[in-house]
Amino acid sequence: MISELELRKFNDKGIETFRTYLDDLRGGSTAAPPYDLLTGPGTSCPVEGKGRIALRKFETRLDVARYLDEALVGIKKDNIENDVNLWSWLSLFYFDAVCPPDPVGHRRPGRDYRHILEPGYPNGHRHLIGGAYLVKTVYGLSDEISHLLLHTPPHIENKFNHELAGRQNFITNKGIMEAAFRLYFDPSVNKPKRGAQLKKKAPGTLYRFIGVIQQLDLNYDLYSMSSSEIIGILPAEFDKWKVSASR
Amino acid sequence: MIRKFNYTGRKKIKRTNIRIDLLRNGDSRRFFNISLQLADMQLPENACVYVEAYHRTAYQRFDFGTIGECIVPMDRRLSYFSEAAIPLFRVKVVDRTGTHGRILATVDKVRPESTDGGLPVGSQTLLFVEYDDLGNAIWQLDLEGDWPVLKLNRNVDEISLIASSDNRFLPLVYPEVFRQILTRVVVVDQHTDPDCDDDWPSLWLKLASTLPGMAPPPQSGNTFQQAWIDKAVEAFGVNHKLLEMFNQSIRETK
Repeated sequence: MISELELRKFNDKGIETFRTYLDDLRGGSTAAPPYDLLTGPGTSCPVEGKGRIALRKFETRLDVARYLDEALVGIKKDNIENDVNLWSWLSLFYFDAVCPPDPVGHRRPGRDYRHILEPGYPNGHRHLIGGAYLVKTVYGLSDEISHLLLHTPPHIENKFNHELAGRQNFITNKGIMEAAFRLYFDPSVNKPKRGAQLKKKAPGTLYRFIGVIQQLDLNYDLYSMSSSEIIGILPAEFDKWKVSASR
Repeated sequence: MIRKFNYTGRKKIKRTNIRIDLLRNGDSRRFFNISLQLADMQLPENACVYVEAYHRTAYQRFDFGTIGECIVPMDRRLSYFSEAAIPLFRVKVVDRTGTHGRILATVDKVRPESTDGGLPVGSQTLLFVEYDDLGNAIWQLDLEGDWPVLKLNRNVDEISLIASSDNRFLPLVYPEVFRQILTRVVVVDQHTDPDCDDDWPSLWLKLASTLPGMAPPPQSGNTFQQAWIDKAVEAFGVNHKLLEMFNQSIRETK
């Protein structure tokens, strides 16, 4: 495996060959990732602009996002979040991070959209590499708040990313995102508080937060409200989380 | 039947009181012009007016001053949107005299009347068209976003021309589009009131209900609702003379 490359992107053949490889993995194959697709002229081409990409050891998806935020500075940005060919290429480049082998060599890639970008709703934000870049660079969340969505290892998408990044009126609203962070993130252990992601009807959890905010959004101009103001109008079922809210 | 309650007396801004156009400035950057008629809504003079543009991952908010003193911002560039995207718009009138900003009046999902290319878009357009890579599919209907979108495969040769002027396209594609949309609205979402609001499900119901021989959909009963959809698709075909259009097109190509 090459450790550093000029940035490239797949063409259609590259994507389809990569897709076939993912399908083979789900069928039990233990074949090595087809890294030759990354540089083969029949499966990839250079990107517009300049940039190099290097293999790194990433602890979290936020580490991935931080690195790409810098590494992709030199390439053409318009609509980058929807560039299927680029994000799919990057997924193969970092395949050991986003689909690591288990001790006996099996890889479990999950659904294709985790590796081959399906832009927009409902799966665009679930691409393991591109989704991390979305949160940090495209939506521009601070490092601190990004932690809530991207604290997991590169191959795992957490519930906060799944539920919040896919809702435009949440992810684009800094007040709401900061409120979620303050309610549900525990900085002392650098991950969400226990019980925050419990299932739908548990009082005050993430799912209820989403439902309640959607109701409040009908009556309040949430875009003009700070996280403290938003937390302040949440009903009593959130009191447990408010008590331990950070800051 | 889904009904939407309005406990707080929020007023609905009529779409006919808004017109938005997308234009390009001297640097070829896109911006919008908006005409807003809010004077007859009896809103407080000091209520704030905001215009929000959004499309998928992108969102921008513009401060238009107050009802009493509307200040059109100089910078109305849509810098956060990709060139291909046509954003939707939301207008909010907000009372900021209290502790929290309370929405007094709003309208959402407003489509620009025209784009910088001069193409009419229309605020009452029921179906948007976008071009995308759809693999081997020629078209797909996307009902997961803010408004129904007919996606056409940008890799099909002359797909734009085919969709706009090939008389076989409409008879082959639109009845199925119509069926899928009505199925989503009536059967899946159980929305059966055409006059509920001016969001897209109600507008599509209104279109179907006003076709010749049609009435509003049954409020319950899967079999009855499916039969209503079948009848609506048939009425759509009759109304647009789709069979005749298709046969004529075939004869012309022989």
